[in-house]
Amino acid sequence: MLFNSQLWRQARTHSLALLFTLISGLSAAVFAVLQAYFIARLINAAFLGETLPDGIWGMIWPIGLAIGLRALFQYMTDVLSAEVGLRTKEELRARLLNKVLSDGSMMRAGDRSGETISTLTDGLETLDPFFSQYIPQLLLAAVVPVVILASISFRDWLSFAVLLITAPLLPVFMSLVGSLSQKSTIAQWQKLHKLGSFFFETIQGIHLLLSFNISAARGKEIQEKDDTYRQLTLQVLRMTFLSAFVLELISTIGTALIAVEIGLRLLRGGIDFHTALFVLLLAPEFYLPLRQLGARFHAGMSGRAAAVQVFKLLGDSDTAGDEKLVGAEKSGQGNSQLSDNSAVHETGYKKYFPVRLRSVTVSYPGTERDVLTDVDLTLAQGEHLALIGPSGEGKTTLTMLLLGMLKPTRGEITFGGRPASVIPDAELAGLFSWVPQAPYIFAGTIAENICMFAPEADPERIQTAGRSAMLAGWVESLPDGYQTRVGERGVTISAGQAQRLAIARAFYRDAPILILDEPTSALDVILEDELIQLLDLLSRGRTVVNIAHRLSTIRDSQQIVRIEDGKVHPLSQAQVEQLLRGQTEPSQAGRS
Amino acid sequence: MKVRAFIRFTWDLFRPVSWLGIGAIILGSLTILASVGLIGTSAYLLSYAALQPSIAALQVAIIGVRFFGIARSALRYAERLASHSVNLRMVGKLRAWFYQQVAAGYPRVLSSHQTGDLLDRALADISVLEQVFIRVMAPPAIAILVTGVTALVLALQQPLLGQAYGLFAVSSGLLVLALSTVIHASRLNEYAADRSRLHTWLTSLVSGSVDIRVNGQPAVFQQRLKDIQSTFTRLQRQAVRTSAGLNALTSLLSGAGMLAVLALAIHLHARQLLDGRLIATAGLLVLASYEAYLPFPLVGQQMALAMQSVRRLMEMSVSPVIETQPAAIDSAERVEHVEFRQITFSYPGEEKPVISNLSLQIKQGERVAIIGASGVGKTTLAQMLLGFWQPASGDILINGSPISRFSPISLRTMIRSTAQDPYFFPGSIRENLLLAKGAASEADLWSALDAAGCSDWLQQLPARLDVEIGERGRTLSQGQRKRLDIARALVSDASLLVLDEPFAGLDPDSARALHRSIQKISDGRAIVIITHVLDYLAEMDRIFVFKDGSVIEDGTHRRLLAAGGEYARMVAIQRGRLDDDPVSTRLY
Repeated sequence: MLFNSQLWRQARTHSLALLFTLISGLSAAVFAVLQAYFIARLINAAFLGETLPDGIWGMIWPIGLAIGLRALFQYMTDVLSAEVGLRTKEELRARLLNKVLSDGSMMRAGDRSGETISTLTDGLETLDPFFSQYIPQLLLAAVVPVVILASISFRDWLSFAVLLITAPLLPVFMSLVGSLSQKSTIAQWQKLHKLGSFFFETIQGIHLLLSFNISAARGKEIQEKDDTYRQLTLQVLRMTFLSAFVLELISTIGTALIAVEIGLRLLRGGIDFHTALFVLLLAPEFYLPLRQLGARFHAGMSGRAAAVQVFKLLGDSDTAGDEKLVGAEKSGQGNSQLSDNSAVHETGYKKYFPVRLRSVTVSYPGTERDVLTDVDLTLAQGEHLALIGPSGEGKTTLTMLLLGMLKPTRGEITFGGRPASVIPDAELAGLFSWVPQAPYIFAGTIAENICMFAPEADPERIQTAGRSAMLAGWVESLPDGYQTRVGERGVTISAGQAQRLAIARAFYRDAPILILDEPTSALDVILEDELIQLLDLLSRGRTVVNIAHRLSTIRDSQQIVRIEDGKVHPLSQAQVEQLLRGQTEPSQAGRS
Repeated sequence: MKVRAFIRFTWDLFRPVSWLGIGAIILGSLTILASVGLIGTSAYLLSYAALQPSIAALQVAIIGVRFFGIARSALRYAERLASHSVNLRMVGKLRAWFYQQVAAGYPRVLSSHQTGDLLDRALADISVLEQVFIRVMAPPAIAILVTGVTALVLALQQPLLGQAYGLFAVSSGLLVLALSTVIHASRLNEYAADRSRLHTWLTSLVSGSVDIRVNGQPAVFQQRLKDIQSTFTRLQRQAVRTSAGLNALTSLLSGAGMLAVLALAIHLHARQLLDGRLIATAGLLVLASYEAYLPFPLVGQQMALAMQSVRRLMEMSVSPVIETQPAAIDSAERVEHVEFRQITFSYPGEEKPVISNLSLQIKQGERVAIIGASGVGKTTLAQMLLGFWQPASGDILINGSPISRFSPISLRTMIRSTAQDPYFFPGSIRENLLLAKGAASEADLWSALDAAGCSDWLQQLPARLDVEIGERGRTLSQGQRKRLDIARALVSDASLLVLDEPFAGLDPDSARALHRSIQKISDGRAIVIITHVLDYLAEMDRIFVFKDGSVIEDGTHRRLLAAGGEYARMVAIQRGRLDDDPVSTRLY
């Protein structure tokens, strides 16, 4: 229905702000009542010649004050309710990000990252009105009419009864109209969405349209679709606006009823003019919160849909992720030495080896096929393991498992006999560095990109890492050196430089296990050759898992396994030698 | 200037629907006037009744109350439909205009070698302008009409009352409008900068999440996001306070306006210049009429936004469209010979040429490769052949005629290229293939699919060619997209095909199969393969080695190896220690 428990829980975290919104909304209502009371009194006196204690002009001040205070409380209501939306956005954004940074299954597919980004940005902005407008207005609509009604009840029972009877008609008719139109519109909305996106798709595909000589035809089609879109939209709106129509109708007819009813009673002397005017002034105020709720209904509903999307991404396990990440600060700060790290590595990290996978099976939620099935692997300290095999068959998944970003569905991973599940994330993360095919360059300085924005990073160490990755020549040619901005709105860097930057990151991080995910496959041979030498240097003294794409990068591996169809096939000594001597077609190596 | 351009732009959109628009504005005014009438006649009814006349005297007022009470909601309903209809028609016009600009000025208008940033911004600007009638144009017009009629009604009773009200209402409206436009306009840039900073950072946190998780400290990045976000929230809070403040100001001004009119009416009544029954009527009438000013705080904000959007869209559309003299050749010919003669080219706004002094030739039926590092201008060559970019100097000759003599349409019939990141429209595979050649038969499609190595996979699908591939073909793998794009090129009748990085993203079996298919194409089409890897080149008729914007050597695989130049060096490096000569050293 309208709410689910997550939405309520989220809204309740700001119950104080909501409470203050309500209080200030009520105060505004109270001043509206006072304003009406004073105005009625003033007019009554001026019209019927009744004397007022401070004279007629003495009444102007209280009215002015009521108007001013009403405006002030309206301002506070707006500001306070907006606060709920602003804070909700901040919180949910942080929670979503936590989820992104801790859950490997969210990083898996590039195709979902676009969706995640749009949820984090536009999705949260769409969600805002649900918390900042709809929920506060819902509360106000439940309470403010009661205040108005109560104040009328003191003066005039009959008008009180008229309002009391017409009020429930509003939600009843609205939901009636709503459910009637909803049936017909869901299918139409979908059709509309499809038509609406036609234009955006066309613009995005403009290169293709021009290359295929169909841009003119598509232009005509845009106009045709726009016509259909307009007609269909108006059809839908005819239904959608019905609920607003009903709201308006009941509230204006209610006001008209009150006016006629008290007019006739005035005629017979059944009510005094002051009270009559007071009631007339308040009647529209009584319906106002409900009408405003109706006006915010649409924004509220799309906000709700966005919120549901956010909570779907968050899943239900996100709180667990929070706690685990908090301790993750220490990683990568351990060793300050860069060169000749083997001694430190051997002694300091000995307890984490061997790394062992025991009949590990992984499947992604929602898919039937296992990505990896019954994988058994042992990785000794200092050993270089090469993974070969077709793409999309589980090589990257295997590395994600090691990194702790994916949990095995079955089986166990141990580090020196300790199950990975009992090692804190921060400690585990500190064991690895990673050089991927397309390293991400963050908007920031080169230095920040090397130390990954670590506060209190040692510039000396950054430069050493830069030198080791053969970045120094390029960096020193830049006017700002290591402080040069790269990434968005920074200097453009080539694929080769980006890769060197990633290698510098790994040098800086100086972790015992290095994971290489086809780091050179996007480069041309000459660059590739240079980088392979750098990677050899980086690999020295470390344990390496190398997703290899060329023969030249696996010469020094002690263990070569082929991953295909989710299974691991270790290459025998003979197969390795055959492969390295070029006697096997490389893409066939290890195929059984 | 800015304002005039904005007015001209919106007027051009509005003109074709001006009658409907005027109707919508009148309906909008009548809606508010109905509630002015409802409250006004009600107040009059009460005041009259208080004097206890005969019931007959009240009849007119009672009918008026009932009439206005019912009319209001019907009018509101009609007004909303009318104004949305105007909006939608203006949207259609706006989109058609924008599409024309993009189609005529591509790729300069979007500078395709840059990121999609510009396009996204333009699309966002269009969504802002889609609401311009309802949010910016209609409310002030409605306010003028409502104020005018209300003032007139008051003036008929007592001229001074009408004048005082009109003056107060108009000046309050102008004040709110001016304040809101100025305040919002002054903050737009800061807001946009901060918003894009937040978006950039969020994008990098998602896209670089593994880098952060593995190579960095998540907490550091979370803290940074928190800082950026709180700056942004501060700005949003400021914006919210501005709006809330302006709303409160509007409410204050309407209260003050009502009070002023009321005081004046009481004063006039005391001097016997106004009927006592009209005191309440005047006050309540005025109060109801201020409904027309409620949208004003939003109008200013939207106007500031819309003006910015118009400015940006105009800037984009005025970028020069280089129109060459009318093309002499408007029919497709068979490409027999292509020659690049000392071509130099640099992208607009960039100094360094991506292509300098490049020459090469391609003959009918040849299979040639252009190899070189990625991102150095190889793709630009294909774009020039298709007439998207013109060289700064040098000539491109097709069958001996300068390329400028061919119309873009004929060029794009003769030559087809595939993309590194191919685009697909949502829909079925068949629909996407038919874009290339609407008249293609089922057999044509399947033979192209077969040649591109797609048929095995497609045969297995229950829906076969009718399978839906989603937005941008997102249900397909990168390899499948690549192969479908190649099939799309093969379906066409083009006699020169340019395949941009066809093997990237394919596993070795499909890459090899594709390579074989390309070798098998024997219908006399010339095929140019652009690639940064050295695989599958041995059987090429000719290989052009592209470096620093120019071709530094060319020849067959064997001849280039024997020459011992750059190509030989690259091959030697790739083979590493291998003495053997496999076709490829790729492991996957």
